[in-house]
Amino acid sequence: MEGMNDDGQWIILMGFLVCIGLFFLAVVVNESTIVGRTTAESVLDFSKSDIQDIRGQVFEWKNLGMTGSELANSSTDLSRLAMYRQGARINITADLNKITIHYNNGVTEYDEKIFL
Amino acid sequence: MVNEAGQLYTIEAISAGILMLVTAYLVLSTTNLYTPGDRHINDMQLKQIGNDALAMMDAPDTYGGTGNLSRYLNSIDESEVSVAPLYAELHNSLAKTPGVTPDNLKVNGTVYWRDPSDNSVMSRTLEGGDIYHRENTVTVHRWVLTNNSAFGDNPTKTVLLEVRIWRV
Amino acid sequence: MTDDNIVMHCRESRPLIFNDSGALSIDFIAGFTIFMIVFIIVITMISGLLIGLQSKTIDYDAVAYRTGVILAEDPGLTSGDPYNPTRWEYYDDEIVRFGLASSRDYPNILSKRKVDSFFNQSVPAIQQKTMMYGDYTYFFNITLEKSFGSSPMPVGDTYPMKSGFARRIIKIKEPSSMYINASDPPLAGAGGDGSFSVLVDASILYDQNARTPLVIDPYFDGVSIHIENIDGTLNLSKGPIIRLTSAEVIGYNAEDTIQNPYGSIINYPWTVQTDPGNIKKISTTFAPGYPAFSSLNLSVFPKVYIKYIFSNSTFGGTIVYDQYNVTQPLIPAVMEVRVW
Repeated sequence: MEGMNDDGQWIILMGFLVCIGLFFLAVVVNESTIVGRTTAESVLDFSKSDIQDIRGQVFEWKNLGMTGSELANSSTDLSRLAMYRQGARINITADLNKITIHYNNGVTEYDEKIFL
Repeated sequence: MVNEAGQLYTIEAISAGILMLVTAYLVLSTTNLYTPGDRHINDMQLKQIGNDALAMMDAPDTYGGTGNLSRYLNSIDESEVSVAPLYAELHNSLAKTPGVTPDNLKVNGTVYWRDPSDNSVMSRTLEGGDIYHRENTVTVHRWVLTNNSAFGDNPTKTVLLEVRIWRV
Repeated sequence: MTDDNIVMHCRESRPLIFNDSGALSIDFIAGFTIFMIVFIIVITMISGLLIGLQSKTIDYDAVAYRTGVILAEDPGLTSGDPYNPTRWEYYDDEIVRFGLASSRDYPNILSKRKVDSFFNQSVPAIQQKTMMYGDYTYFFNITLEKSFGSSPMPVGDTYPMKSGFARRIIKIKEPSSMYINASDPPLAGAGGDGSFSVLVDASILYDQNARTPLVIDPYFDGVSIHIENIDGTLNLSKGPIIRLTSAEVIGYNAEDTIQNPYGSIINYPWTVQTDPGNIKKISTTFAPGYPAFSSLNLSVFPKVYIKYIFSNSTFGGTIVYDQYNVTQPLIPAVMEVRVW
């Protein structure tokens, strides 16, 4: 190969490197369009309305004056249905002066003590 | 007199230039700068609206009272008629223009409750909704306090109302 | 072989003269020039590709969703009152964050005064305190439309076709008001001396255990009393015309033993009679901030009696201003947020 003239190969090499750089930029710009999807996915994953719903139910039980066995029955309803339909653990216990809420759906965990 | 001496660099440069121009053309023609209407974003918006609609139907209007959702579920019996107001109000809430029933959203509701005798979960589809044929749906749910004896023997119980919403 | 021959030989096969004279061949210059021109053209084209691309402008839907959540589910924050940090509607220049909900515990139920105050704010104030948690200024348009009647209330610029969008379904809680029908009990047929009272009892209203969206706060929401049908025939006993002779506010302690008069309210703007000659309706409206309902006064005198005295009538009794006797309408509405 000693007869081959490799002068000027630098120019074509620079051209080639510029093209690789352009492809990299194209990949960056293309992936920017997926940003919207992951934001929406994370919103769907976080169970904000579940937690607000459970708190609203507990407040409704308190306002209606449910105590004792009625509260225990409704709390068992909640636990059983949540495990069956959503795969979430909901545990609501009522003491004399507070109600404790525990919620865990595998992605989000929420604990609260509501003092009466 | 004309020979190929002195053409090496020119040929290299022209070929490099053509290579860059073709690449630039390909890059510009394939990238898409605008966020496409991706299904996840629409699903998220629909889910938020569905949850809002159910939450507002469950909000009590009077002090010490219960919301509309409890009333609808309390009045369910074997006939279909008593569930229609639930669907009517749900359609109304989901409308693009308040008060105008949309024709691009369909809903279908199911109630799940616990049978206290053997702790099993029973379910019943609320008649009067649209027929579901495995479209791509968003499911929203709400816990409702009810005293309807159709949902178990306890005097007061909490049932799960699941509503499927899909676009047509 | 001489050196000249070698140099000659090299010159044929290696165009670049390998010496330090600094002269380039025309072929190299031509090629290099062509390359540089094309390179500059391509770079100029590609830099236009990236001009509009910054992370803050890609996903307007996320910004709109976040703004919708903050407005509909958060009560807002002000630094003006450390005991009531969510009452930003009464502090114009110390607002930290806008939020329209009436309480954290009840999302999507908005307070009417917050809504009215928010939609009268200027656009830059909203930009700063609602959605600009950074240095990029988004354009926005927030519209509230009630479900029945009334035109939409927008704030912000007109939105283009392509904009981030979020819609929330809400209810607006109007302040409480009490409607008393003078032809019905307990006013009618009371056999009294023509004076009856409306009792605002702090121990009932500020029951901390009642977590309900229908909370009455007389100091921050105001109190509204409307007495109607006063010229009903049931009360014409001593003469044909019933007159309102006095209306005053008196505070009592919890045992009803010590009283603290706050003065007469018979003159405008507190008590408005529709026709002083032959009254049919009386409306009394205490705006937010009435001193009788301040927490300081209520802690010592928790029972506030609003006492009306009529001549030529047999009114009597006391009506308690609590959640069972007042109306607090919840108006359904839709809020749309657009960001671009």
